[in-house]
Amino acid sequence: MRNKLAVREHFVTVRSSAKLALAGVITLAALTGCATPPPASDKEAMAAFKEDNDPLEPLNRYFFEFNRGIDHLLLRPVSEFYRGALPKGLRNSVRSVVNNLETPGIFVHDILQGEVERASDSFGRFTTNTFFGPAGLNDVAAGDNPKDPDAGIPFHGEDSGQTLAVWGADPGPYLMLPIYGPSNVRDTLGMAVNFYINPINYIVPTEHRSGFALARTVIKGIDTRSRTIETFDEIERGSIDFYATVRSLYRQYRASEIANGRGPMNPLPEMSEELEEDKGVERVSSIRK
Amino acid sequence: MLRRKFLGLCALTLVVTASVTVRGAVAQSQNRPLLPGEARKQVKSLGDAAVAMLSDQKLTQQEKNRRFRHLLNQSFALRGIARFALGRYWRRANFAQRRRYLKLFEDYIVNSYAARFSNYSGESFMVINESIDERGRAIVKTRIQRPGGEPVEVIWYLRERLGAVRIVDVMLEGISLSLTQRSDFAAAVRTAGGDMDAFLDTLEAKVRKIKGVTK
Repeated sequence: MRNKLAVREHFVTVRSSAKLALAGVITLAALTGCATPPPASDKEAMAAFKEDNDPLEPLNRYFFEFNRGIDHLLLRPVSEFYRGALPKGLRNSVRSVVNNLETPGIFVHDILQGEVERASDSFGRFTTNTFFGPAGLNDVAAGDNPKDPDAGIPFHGEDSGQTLAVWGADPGPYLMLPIYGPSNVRDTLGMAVNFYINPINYIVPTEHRSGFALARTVIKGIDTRSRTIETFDEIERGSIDFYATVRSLYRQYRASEIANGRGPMNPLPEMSEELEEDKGVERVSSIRK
Repeated sequence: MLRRKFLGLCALTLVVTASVTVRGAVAQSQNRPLLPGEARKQVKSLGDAAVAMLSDQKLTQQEKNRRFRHLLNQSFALRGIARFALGRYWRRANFAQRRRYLKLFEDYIVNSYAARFSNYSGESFMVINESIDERGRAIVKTRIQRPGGEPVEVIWYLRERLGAVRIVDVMLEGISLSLTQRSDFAAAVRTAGGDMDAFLDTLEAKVRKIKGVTK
């Protein structure tokens, strides 16, 4: 998938500082308190509370606003400058190089998840783009042919959070990490180990390793943000509760990533019942002219 | 006197029987499995109509909005989606609140998308494939190609109900628009302390705000 346009921006992952972030979140959670659960007698409200799975909501909302501030002051202006200053071909090369450097790690995760075909895709993409890109500068493996988008092997992402999910780990409560954006307990732990899993990190000397990983994350973050400016503006303008909307988007996006696009045929099992309930009694007047 | 009573009873029986029969027929007609190609054709014609409308430069913004509203009502199970988006709060709402909500929901959708009409830059629309699940609902995969941009895959879910085939959900990159809307509204009603009228006021203010951006 080359165009995970809408939601990526918030999912920037950083490996080395994740542990620190987690420690900070736990401390702050202790200071600011938790969301109050509804009374146990209200079964529907309780079910909704569990579905949200967001016991740290007050704290998460605080960091959400904090992140929006950072975005407004820093990330967005930098991304706009990046988009305006560099021609599209160059920006595509930036993305392609960063993706290529992530691919050995993705290959490891493909294997860990037992995805033989996707592992072979990742292997083929890395060798092809490294040698013929060259150095990943062009995504030749994807074939970038607008007339036939199915030709070639498109990029796909994987990370430790997804591997843990495939192994059966629950996501745990939703977390809004400062700077890094939406996550959950599982994905946050995954971020911490991902750094050690990508073999590419071991090609640089130990003292430059975390800098190397951080630089890739920052570049990827700017590039991705620059591709989602309008989309996110629209989502923000359209939503009443932007925080809740982003939480929902993150959940669905991760679920579809974990399923590798082979999700359930009908994503809304409960929807059919809700639609059934109506006997066509109340009609809205403005329609059917 | 007796005769009149008897006649009245007959009439009553007739009415009851008739209404039971009608309801039975309606129940039977629910969820007719879709035929192959049916949903595909509908999505294709919706896409073609939308592209024709958007690329017609003679149309005013107002006229575009009107046509879009018509397309929306024709192709989408709008009331079903609206009810789904409100979730458990729908059942608690009274008749007047439901009416007001359904009206606002339609305005909300029309105006949210109308803001994008002016950005139209020659997108093309193609249907890739169609599949029908075990409950007779159709899933239509399409691709929207932006000139010079990357293609976006959009998946449409359709079902038959009360004689009409309608879209019940749209998925973009694994994200369901109906489900996202539901999360947004659920949080908004909770913020309003579960007060339906307060939520409807918020929704109305939102619609007004989006309208302001469009004009």
